Amino acid sequence: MGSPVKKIMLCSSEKEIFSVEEQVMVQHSVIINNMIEDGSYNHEESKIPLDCVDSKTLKKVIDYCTHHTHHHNDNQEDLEAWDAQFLNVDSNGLYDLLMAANYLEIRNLLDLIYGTIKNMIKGKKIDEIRRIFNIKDHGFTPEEEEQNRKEYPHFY
Amino acid sequence: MLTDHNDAETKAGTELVSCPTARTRKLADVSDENMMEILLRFPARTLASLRSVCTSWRNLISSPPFTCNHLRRSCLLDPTLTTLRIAYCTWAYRNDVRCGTIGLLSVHSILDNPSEPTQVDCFREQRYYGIIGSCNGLLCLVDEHAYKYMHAILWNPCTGFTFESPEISGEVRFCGFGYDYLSDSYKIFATIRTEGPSNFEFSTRIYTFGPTSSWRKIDDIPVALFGVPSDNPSWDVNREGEFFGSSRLCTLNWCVNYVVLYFDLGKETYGHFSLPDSEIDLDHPYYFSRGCTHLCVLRNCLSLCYGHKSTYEWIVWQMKEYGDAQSWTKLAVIPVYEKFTYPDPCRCFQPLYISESDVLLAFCPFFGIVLCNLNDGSVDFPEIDNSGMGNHPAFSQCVGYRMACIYHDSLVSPNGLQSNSSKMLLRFIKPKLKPIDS
Repeated sequence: MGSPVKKIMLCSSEKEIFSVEEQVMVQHSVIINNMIEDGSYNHEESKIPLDCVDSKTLKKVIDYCTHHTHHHNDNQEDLEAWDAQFLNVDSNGLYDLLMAANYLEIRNLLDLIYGTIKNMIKGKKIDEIRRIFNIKDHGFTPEEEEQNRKEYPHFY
Repeated sequence: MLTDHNDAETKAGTELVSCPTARTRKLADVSDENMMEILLRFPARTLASLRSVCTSWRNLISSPPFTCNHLRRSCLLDPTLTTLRIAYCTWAYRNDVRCGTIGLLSVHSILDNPSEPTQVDCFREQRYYGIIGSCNGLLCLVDEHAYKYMHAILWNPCTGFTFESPEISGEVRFCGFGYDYLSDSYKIFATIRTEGPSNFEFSTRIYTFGPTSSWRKIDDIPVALFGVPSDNPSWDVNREGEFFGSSRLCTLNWCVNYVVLYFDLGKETYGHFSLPDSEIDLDHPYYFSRGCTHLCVLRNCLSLCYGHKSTYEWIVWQMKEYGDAQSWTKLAVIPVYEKFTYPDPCRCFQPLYISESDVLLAFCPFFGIVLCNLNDGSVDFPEIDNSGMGNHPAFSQCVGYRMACIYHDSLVSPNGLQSNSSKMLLRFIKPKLKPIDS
């Protein structure tokens, strides 16, 4: 009742500090929820160091969690449109988000990213997929490659 | 792994703010765990082709944890990850050798649009293989040479995986194929008749698909399984046991001597329970003694189909609680249609599947596929494009054996098993292009 909104501090790999509503992160991130629950986070002096998340990515992750906390009652269509806009990033940005969501264990953001990467693969020919994933050496012998080509001609 | 990577980075100098993204940190670095999560969202058939992207994708997609996870998801969470198909076999003589063809067709294509011809994918065999059962996307076929010896073949049509068992001599009487979840293994059961010094000897053999496995003899064999599956030796009707699998038990079931006789694949023991108490006339010459019954699994319940003694309607019963004979419930009565109603023991109506909207899909020997709407009693005969079958009869000539079974696409191959079949057992017949496409 009237108590100030509890905040927690997150620290990016560039040592930039982000102050976020505790509830926002607790709701979405398994790892932060655990830290709060087991008391390993001290509100007076702790900062959660996220050495593997850069500021740009961390800001996006916080945006995501904040939006989904405050707009979870929005209709599905609006939320999906927001998510689509949110993930309109290049593949490096997507990779950074994936790593961050993975590290912080943000399940719904992970699902969203997995789905996005899946859609990048879907319907593509083999060369395009190899390009997207930067696969220079596919590892098949020429015979195996020939066999695959025979078996899945539509894919080449 | 991530933390290590960045610890190193931090030590190297924290002022390199944008360096992690600027370097080659790309989708190429996605861990196997994450890649698995991404790939698990594709249907089995797409994944089969994605195996050719690179060896690490192939190994990931073929690994038992991946294939099991995908199977679980497609069965429980997301049915769009798999396609339900019918596999059936037919045969013809080619240069005096009986050669078979296996046809595969999509159940949903038939149900969604019965008037639009459903394409059959045809696989031509070098000999004739009968289907004895299917489980988790694997088909089990047997090749019998003049009833003197036989071997079994496990085939995953989605991935192309094939594995041949060693041969066993003797004539196969009752048989069946199923999955034993206790030992996570795929087993074949067969009662074998061999010619002994003075008379015929019967034995029960189990083959567990594995790299060094052989046909193991088990001692116990019920008298009921000594005989032939039906009293007319030329019709091996009902010899293939119906696999029933739940989280509690996995069994093979035969309708024999007026009961359902089952074999527990985990414990390797037998048991039996009675048939629905009904108008089935046990003394009627055309009934159980001659095998005019068919066991199947519909909506996860063991089910029984038989022809009514006087009306010739097909009656379908479902056992709501497996093993509890009190739980037999009449599911459907299929009215008489001259195309597929005949009091002939080898032509039993074989229900395969019931859709969510209560359309029963069944296979009729000598005729083909029938759709019965259980809500209004209407019957439909879906269009099937058999052009790939060539000179093989589309559905006819299929007596004996299980002629059709239902399965869903999966990536499963039994744990640790590699294809061992050097020769191409099954050759895919490319459908001829229609003139409009060429």
